[in-house]
Amino acid sequence: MDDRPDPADQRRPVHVVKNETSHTARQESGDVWKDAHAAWLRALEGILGGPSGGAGKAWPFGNVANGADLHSRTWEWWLQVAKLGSDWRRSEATRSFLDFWNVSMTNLFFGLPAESGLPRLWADSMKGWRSLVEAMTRAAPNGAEPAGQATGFYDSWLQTYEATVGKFVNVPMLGQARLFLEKLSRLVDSHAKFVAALVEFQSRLDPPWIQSMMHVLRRAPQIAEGGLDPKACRELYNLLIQTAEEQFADAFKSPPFTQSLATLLGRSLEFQQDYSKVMEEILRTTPVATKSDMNEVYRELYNLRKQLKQQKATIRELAGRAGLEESP
Amino acid sequence: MAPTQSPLEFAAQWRAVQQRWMRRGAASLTADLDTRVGTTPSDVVYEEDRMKLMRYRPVVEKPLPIPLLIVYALVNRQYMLDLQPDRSVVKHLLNLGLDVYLIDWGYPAGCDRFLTLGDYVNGYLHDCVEYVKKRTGQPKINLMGVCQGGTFAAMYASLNPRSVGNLATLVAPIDFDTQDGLLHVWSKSLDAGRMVDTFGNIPGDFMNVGFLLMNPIRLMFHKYVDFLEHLDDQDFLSNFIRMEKWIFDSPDQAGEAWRQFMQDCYQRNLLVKGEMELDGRRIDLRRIDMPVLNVFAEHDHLVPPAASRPFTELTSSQDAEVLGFPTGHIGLFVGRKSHAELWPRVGGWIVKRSRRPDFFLDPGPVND
Repeated sequence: MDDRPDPADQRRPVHVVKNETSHTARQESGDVWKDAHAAWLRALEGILGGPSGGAGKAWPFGNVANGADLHSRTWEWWLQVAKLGSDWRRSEATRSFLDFWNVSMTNLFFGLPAESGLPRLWADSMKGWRSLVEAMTRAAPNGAEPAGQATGFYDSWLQTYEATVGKFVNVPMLGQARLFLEKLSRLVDSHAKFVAALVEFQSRLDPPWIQSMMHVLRRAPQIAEGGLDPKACRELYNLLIQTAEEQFADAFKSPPFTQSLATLLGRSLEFQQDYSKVMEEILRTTPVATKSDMNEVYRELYNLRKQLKQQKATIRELAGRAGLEESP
Repeated sequence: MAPTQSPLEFAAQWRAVQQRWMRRGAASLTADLDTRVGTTPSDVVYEEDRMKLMRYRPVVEKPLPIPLLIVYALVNRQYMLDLQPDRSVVKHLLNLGLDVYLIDWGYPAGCDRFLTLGDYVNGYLHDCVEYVKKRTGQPKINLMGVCQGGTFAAMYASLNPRSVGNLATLVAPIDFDTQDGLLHVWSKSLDAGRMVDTFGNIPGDFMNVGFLLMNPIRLMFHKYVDFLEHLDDQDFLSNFIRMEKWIFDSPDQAGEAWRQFMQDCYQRNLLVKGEMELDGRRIDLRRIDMPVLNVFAEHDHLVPPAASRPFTELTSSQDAEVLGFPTGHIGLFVGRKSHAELWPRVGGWIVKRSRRPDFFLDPGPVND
């Protein structure tokens, strides 16, 4: 007798998100794909759920159907991402996306035991993302000032990352490939931090250039009073170069720039190191020497060369004392 | 080109300028430009690992008996001293009758990453000095150090004062505790140890990016505009391309030596404090008692005067001269004015002191 439970009974209730954003999404052209996907899911359930037979018997395929159900909601989420891509500059669009994301992801985690902490972690994460959106909104009122310097946008970004995605990236890994996966996670983590440092650094290169351009534009009407000719152009160009040179020199000497450069280098090195570790893991499966292997060889070579030179010097000294000719 | 108020007219004029540049460029760059570097005839007389010691063929019948050994930096290549045939430092010194030797450090490979500063100064440099002494039969020689090579020369002269008859340093960083140059500012917060642990040898390209970033507008933009404006000037183009070759011919830096140079010199300034050690031997600059000529460039953005000028005060030399010249770090070696005014003085200083009667006296034990 087949006492397996009906997979349909095992499925958790689907909490469809009832907000404006999701309704809008259904009206988009993406509905075609959503319908196609739903049909595919139904077919999948038909195939996998079909043989389950009677209730009460554990059957792993039923869990796959549950996974597919979760996948269905993730699909809906991706549709929203695609939609956001077209109007991401509008902060209300970002907010509405985050609302949708918050609710749908909470639904995704619905049913998980509260003590697992994931629903709570998710709620905390959303607070972080919300503060990021607010920072973005504050940062770019009219584009007059680079975001990074006006509001600490990139610090905010990094803090948000660490409070949200970073936590997921750094969850403990399990199983046979644990070590490799942990290295991979660290690589993802250090890449995110490197990119944050890079854009922060780049944002510091803007103001000197903008200041120089503003200075030239202020002087331009005077210089080109008699019309634009090669002499006036050359004068404007010289002014730009000289001003930019001074502006950059001042900026580069400033402690914030030096700190930003040091942070960028540090993060870049961290990323390089994590990348090397992952590459070494991959290379171990091939008949190719890794960087660590080569470093060992290099150290041995260095020591051997030194020993050889010392011994040659000793031989020369002994030969000299004995009054012998040096061998070639 | 007549002045215009109309953007359209201006755009048309600008297009005409561009077309003229293109025509000139096509003609000039496809012509037979002589862009060779390091053309003064020389022979490799001694080799050790990647290091080569070159002796330039004398151009006078009887060169001065006391040879001159030039130590270049590990950064970039030694042919800066022989970049242009008409403005070659090496050629200038040869014409004065000097017997010139120059160290080519080569390009460090992976297996050189554990080379230390001690290996460079107490190893390669010491072996070159000993070789030149033996070859010429002289108990001591003239030593000239350029940029970081000047720092090495000072270190060597301090550890082996009896082997060095006269010491000349050019744009050599000695006192690293200054905020005048960006290298000095930035290097304070650089994690040199981590860089070496990550890269092994420090890539030459990384060093170059750092140098370009010090003046990005001029070095990455303006100089190429200048290049376009001189497309019909063959001499300018030849020299421009020679300089481009040199600038982007950047050997990697042997990891451990770089780590020590950054940490002990740039970050801790141990050389000036008298606390720097190479292979367990402490460097005391006061032991430099031979005649010293210290040349710095007044507009040097790489080694600011504040880093090089104090050197002579730290020695015990009774015959020390400091010479500032109104040019930049590179201009000192390739500038027209430098060759007309500075190099005759530098060469004259060496020649004059090489004729001192006490120079030929055996100074006793070499390493003291």
